[in-house]
Amino acid sequence: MSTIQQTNPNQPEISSYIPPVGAEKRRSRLFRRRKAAPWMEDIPWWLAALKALTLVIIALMMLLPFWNVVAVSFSSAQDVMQGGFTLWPNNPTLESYKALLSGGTVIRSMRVTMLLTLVGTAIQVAFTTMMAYGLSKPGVPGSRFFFILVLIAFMFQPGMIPVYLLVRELGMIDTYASLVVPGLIGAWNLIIMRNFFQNLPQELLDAARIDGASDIGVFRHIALPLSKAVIAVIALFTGVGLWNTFFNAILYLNDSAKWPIQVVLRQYVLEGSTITSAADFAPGQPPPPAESLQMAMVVLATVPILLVYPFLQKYFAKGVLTGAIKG
Amino acid sequence: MDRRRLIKTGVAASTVAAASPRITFAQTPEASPAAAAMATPVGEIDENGFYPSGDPAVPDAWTKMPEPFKATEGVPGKGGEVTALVMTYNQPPTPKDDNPYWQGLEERLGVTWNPILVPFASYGERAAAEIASGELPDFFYLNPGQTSTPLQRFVLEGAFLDITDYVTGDNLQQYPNLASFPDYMWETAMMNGRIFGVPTPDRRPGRVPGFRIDWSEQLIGKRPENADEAFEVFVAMSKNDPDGNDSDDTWGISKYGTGWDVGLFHQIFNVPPLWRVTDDGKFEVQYGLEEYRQAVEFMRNLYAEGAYHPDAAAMGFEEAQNLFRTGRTGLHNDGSPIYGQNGVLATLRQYQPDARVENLIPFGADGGQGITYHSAGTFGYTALPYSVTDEERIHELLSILDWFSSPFGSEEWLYKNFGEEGVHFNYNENGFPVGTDALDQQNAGLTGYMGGSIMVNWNADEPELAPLATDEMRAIYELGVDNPARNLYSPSMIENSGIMFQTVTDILNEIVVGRRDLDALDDLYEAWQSNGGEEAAREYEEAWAANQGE
Repeated sequence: MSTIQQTNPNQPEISSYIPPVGAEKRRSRLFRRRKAAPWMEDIPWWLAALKALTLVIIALMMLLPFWNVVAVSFSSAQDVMQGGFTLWPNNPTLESYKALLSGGTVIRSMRVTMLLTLVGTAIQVAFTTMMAYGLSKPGVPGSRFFFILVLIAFMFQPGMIPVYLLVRELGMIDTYASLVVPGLIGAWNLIIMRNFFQNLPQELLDAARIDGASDIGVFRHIALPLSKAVIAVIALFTGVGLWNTFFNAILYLNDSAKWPIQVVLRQYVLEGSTITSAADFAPGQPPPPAESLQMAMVVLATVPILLVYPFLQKYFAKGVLTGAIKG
Repeated sequence: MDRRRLIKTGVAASTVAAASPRITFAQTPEASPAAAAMATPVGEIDENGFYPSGDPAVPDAWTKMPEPFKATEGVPGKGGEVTALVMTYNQPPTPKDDNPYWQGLEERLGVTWNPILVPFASYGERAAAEIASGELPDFFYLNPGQTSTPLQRFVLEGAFLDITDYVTGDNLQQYPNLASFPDYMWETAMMNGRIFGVPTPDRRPGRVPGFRIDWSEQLIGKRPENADEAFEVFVAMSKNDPDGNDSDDTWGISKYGTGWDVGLFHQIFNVPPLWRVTDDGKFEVQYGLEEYRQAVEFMRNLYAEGAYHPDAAAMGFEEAQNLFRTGRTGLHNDGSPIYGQNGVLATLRQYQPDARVENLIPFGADGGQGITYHSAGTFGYTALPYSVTDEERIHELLSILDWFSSPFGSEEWLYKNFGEEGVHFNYNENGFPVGTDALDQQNAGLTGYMGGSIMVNWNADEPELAPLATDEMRAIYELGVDNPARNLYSPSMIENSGIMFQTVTDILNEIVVGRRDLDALDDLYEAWQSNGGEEAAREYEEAWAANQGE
């Protein structure tokens, strides 16, 4: 705590007991928050440094594997075969990307995934938001019943085959609708949003009512603008989920031209990796694609959705918290 | 690409004595014009480039491309639609509208070909969902060994058509290419003595590992011929710098997945392929045998001496393959034949131009003969749904499978595998077809593993290597033993094999890398037995006894 005393201008001079302020003190300023909030404890410089170091190491542990993927994707197949952990390609090349983007498959599946993500997110968020708003208002007939239905669906997931049979009966096999409609109402998202709507000040909504707004008007002009944060977060969750559509596509789609990017990615990356013994070889099975090709595929399938995060970052913590904490 | 080019596929086999327990398969030596070449003595190449193996289980070889011939009559289809559940290892093909290969295929088949391509890793789940729906596609590919979801159950439950009567006796003559399939292939598509599908041919001789013979000669002066010499050479490959670059970057063995034995060490010690049946019909699993203990001890010592690559415990196939192909390990079991173009040798020589590789055929631990494990000879089979009852439709569907099974060198074979000349393939200077990029994009697993030609050896770049491959496969086949349980049905094995093999693998890994001592093998055996192994043995014994009784 001595550093606090040293920097406090109201503190009487006690330099005869304390060594002159030197390098150590300057360092302590460097690591200390410029203005610690009143409830936050100030910490000694070495602890701050240790914290920083730990955080840097953890960040590197997260970033290095991804950086390795990027570096390998720009390496030549031969360099990668030599093995080792690549942090910088020896002979940087765009070969892998050229090969992937020239075949038509990757571009096609990328287009499918982008459309699916955009349209699917819009539809799912719209339905979830509207239902959440409806269920958040007291006095809506049957709202309790429907909310319990949603909770049941949330807690007791149906198995793969019952859902497959339902999708089939609804005539949605081999349509993009099969990838969007079963998840039209996200139960988890709906609960978050319903809580959020319940916390909107009733007076605001009443005021709009008095000004002559209809139910839909209140929803559109009052509730929605106040809910940007939570909608952004729900849209992000939904969007990432749709971007990663994989198993449903394998289950419901017949035409391979409709495959989203994750199915294509998995074919590239898993090829060869599942061979565990000499008995596993399929006759005529294509050899595993070069590792650089696999990693370029990973980059192509990951980066677009990663780019969305920074733009929604500011809503993120806020949106989840406001929805989750009641009162 | 390389593997596909070499492995695909077949010429009509010779006659086989029909020996199936219940069913007599008609065999037709006249099945294809190529059969005429059967007159060629074994061990000689005739003027057409044909090199017969003399054994239906060993692929013949061709050093020249035969003149294309018609292997089927007319068009098999009747203009309708055919749907198929196809397991695929490929990227999806170009959509039909922009895919001349697909359009040409439909023209030749006389049907609208609508495959449901399912990535191999999720095939079991999709297949189970399709069966649950009750509306099955016309062709349903089943491969018990490749899917985690147990699909054989559905065969027993009656989801598929019993085609026995259509593919035996005189009826089989309507399908000349299917008629050329040897018995051992049909037997893999049988359940309780009935045939439920058309098998997909694969190689019958087992796969043995590739081996750096040049390193071996340099280190111990010869090819190893017993366990002690093998031990010496693999340890020396790790320790004595066989590539002479003064760097500690070579290892004896690259191993992947679950196979510490790399297809060699079990075989040296005469360990049976999972099961062995005694004279009085008792099934013994390899894990409880003394031979297995010896093999594990041998592998444990190899590991302790550093003969395995240090990452061997967790290595995947691709990494193991890269190590061997870049000249850093001396032993590796690779799906791609040593003699294939762009195969192991071709890649290896980019890194070490003087490298020499051979397949290491197992010798006995004491210097006598080793054994090899036969492959199944098929890669799954194609079933028809139970709901097809119309005789004409059944005939149409089987005719399409017959078309898919046309032998090596036929027009049908050429189109199925290579498409149209000038678009999808070109003939190289040796007269063999070589696919273009368009082939890769348009014929990407479109017909999957539905039917298929009997395998032959041929090599577009170095045709003279094909007879060598045949000779080698013959040598491998002659040492081969079968898993006695291979065509038997055990519910316990199907339900529990996941946990059974996982437990065994976990304990084995710990033993080999030295974390547990050799006595842990008792735990391993115990775990296998209690997880379902004991029950499986009993079920196999019953099934075996039932077969013997006929």
